[in-house]
Amino acid sequence: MRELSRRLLVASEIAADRSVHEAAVMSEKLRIPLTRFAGAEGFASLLRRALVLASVEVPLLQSIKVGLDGRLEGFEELAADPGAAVKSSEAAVAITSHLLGLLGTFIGEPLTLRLVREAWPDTSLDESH
Amino acid sequence: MSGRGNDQRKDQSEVRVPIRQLPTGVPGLDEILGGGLPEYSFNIIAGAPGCGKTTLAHQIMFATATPERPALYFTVLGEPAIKMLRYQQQFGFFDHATMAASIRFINLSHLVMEQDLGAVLDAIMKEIETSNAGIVVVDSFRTVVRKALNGLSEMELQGFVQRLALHLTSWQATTFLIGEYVEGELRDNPVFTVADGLFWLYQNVERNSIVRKMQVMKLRGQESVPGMHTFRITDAGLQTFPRTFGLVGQSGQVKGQRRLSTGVSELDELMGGGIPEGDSLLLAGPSGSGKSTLGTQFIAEGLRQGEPGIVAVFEEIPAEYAQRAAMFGFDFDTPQRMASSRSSISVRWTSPSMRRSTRSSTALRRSAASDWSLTRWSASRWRWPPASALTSASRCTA
Ligand SMILES: Nc1ncnc2c1ncn2[C@@H]1O[C@H](COP(=O)(O)OP(=O)(O)OP(=O)(O)O)[C@@H](O)[C@H]1O
Ligand SMILES: [Mg+2]
Repeated sequence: MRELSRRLLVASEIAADRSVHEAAVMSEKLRIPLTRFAGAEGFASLLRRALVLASVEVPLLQSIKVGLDGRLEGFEELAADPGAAVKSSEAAVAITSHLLGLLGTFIGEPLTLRLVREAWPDTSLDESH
Repeated sequence: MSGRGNDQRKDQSEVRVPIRQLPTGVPGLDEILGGGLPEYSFNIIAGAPGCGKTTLAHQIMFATATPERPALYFTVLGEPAIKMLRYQQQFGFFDHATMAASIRFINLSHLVMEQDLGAVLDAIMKEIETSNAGIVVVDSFRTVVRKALNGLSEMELQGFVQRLALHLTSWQATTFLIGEYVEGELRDNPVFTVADGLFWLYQNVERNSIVRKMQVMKLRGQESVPGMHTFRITDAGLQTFPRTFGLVGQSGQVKGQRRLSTGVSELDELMGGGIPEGDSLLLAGPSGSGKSTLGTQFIAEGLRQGEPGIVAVFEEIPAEYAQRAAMFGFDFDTPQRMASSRSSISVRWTSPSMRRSTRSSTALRRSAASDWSLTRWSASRWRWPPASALTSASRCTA
């Protein structure tokens, strides 16, 4: 899921801007199809678990929280930290891959990829691209 | 006059609107329903927790959904979609290609908890309009109703169900609402009144076994088979065993035109030539009096004449049975290896949980009817199978 998350991040073409954190954009893209599928609470609880798992690898995520609506919060405080910007992509990949990994564990890869396709409809998930 | 009456009747059947019947994908269920699931019907699957409602809905959905007319599965509280799919994909009917192309899961929990029934109806209808869904499942609808009853009158609830049914039918969807109900709730329930089809699933304890049963309490527009039908859940999903043993519409063969030798010539003589073909015969007697031996001889005689047979064994394993037959000089091993040949036998051990249920006799009847024109039966020491199950078999000793 890590390689896939990396490709998805590249495909998302997130502009290099301190005010938007890549992790927030990535999880926001998944939020819509996953909420439709698993409900707002279902998505929020998966994201909370993914965030905790990702924080082990990227400690600056420890200050990030999942809001009631299933959005990642707390990036504003990080904006001032120059180290956070460097780690932005790494954090986004860590959260995305843990979230997809959790889904894969529960419902299997084919169904997970289907949800990913809904979130990134214009991105080919084929390895060769 | 009467001639004109007949003409009129004929005209009626020609102009009658045809109701297409969808194959359910559940072995035996189409027969119970009287041919299949009426298209555009509004149905309820009811039963206690764990009786197989979700599995039944999934199996039907996988059999009927197409990319042009996909299935929408609305989850409402109850079992979350993530768990449902985790468990349902263990079943053999779960096909990832169908899932990807023709099935969508939509969570309605937040709407049901936070909004009124009107918003729930709007959300369902919007999804159906944009997807062109042909199959719609709401699991569990009971939670919608429970929420509605907090502050709504029964009339308003009935109005909601009526509107839901009306819209779903207008959009040409075949619908299943799933509910955890107990039998006592059957009366005066507005939801049941609106439904075209009501499928009730049971899970009863009989002695130490669990027996799953199903009843089609109503099915508008066609004649379903009334009564309780046994079913089981295996890795393949649900399998039903219609109470009618698949004999609906079969005239059955004329009995007694031939006599079948018992393998004991003196006994044949006493019986006027042997057992009338197609008869069911009860062999009774105290322990050790030779009932099983006579049954074995009957089967052996069939093999000698090139007639295949089936032995349903309850108290031994097939190898032991064949060994006992070998002691009398009968070879039951070779014929068992020649499965589809005319002079073959099938010795089947029937597990205790299968006993006294229609499903074992149906299973045996099927193997008898499949390719064998003639079948010898020998079921040792048992009040079973019922004679009705055996009309396709030519000989029977039970
Ligand atoms: N592979 C299997 N083999 C045999 N039985 C199985 C198998 N998988 C599931 N079951 C049976 O199916 C039951 C679950 O059925 P299902 O989830 O469809 O019930 P349900 O009526 O929807 O229950 P609930 O009301 O709790 O949602 C299990 O309790 C189990 O007994
Ligand atoms: Mg269920």
